[in-house]
Amino acid sequence: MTIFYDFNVAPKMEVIETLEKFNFTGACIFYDSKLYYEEKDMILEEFNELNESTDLELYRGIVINETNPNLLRKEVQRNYRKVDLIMANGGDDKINRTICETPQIDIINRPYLDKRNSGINHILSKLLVENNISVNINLVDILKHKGFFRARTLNYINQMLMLQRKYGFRTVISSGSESFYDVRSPKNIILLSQLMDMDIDYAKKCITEHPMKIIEDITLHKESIVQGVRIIKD
Amino acid sequence: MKLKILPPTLREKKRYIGIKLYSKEALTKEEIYNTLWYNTINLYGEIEASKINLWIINSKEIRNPDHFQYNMIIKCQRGYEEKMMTALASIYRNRTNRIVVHTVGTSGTIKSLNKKYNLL
Repeated sequence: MTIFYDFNVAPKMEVIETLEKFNFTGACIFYDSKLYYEEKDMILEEFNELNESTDLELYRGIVINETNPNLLRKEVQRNYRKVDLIMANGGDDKINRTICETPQIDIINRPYLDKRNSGINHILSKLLVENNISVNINLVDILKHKGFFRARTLNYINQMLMLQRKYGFRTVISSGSESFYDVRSPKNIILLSQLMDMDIDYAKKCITEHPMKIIEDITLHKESIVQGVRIIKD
Repeated sequence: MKLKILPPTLREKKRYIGIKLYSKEALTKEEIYNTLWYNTINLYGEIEASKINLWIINSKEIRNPDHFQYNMIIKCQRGYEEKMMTALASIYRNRTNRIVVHTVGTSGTIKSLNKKYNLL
């Protein structure tokens, strides 16, 4: 049995149930960082309820949406090790660079959006590999738009995948589900990935192997004291 | 004079795909047909869409307390199943109404598809 992960879903029961129906192994729920800080207790309670009611491996993450690099760094420091995963939304060149330079961040979310290029260049690609950061491709970006916008987004993603093939940073594909109508089965995700310049084996890795490696990194983050030093328990 | 029916060897080869379509609002068969064709043309263009040659064979409305559910069998040309399924997966909305298509499986005959997945 293959293990599938969907790494960007909303905390809704209908979404989790549908993922379970499609034989996904795990999912990660991302909360807005500011909302998470303000309503932490309520969110934790809601998350625990969801976790108890499902067989899926659920992970808790935050998504940081900042336009100022300094505020982004502060937000990362405030939440590091308090949640399973930290994802940051891509933005202009400065923000993308800051995200790629911060090893505490696990995923950069759609760096290609609202720009005139993919948002990743050869320097950022090297930084992504060095700091073990994955790039998230959100399927909603492709599905929601039509015509010119869809073609443009696909072009930017293809530009990014060209760099991926050369530098080998990790990419994950997620459905970005906010309701029942956004959830796609693993087979459909793989088929939709064929719209991009991606071979079928790599597409499979994007929803199986790469999320698993990100999950492995969670324990590494928790055990590490400073960069490069971690506690090994007997 | 009526044209003679083509022999099976010269007919277009076809495959059947079973789908479950979920919608927030009620849809007519014509609306569904238009949505499927519109999405296929939008994604692959007129030339590829003509090769896919989509056709709704049968549909049935299923009672579902949460959404409007329609189980359907659709026909496409053999060899274009994956493209057809991708086009179906890319369906996001019909005007303002949210819809989603879950593909169930493919088969060479309507009978075996219906037997396997119990669609109609």
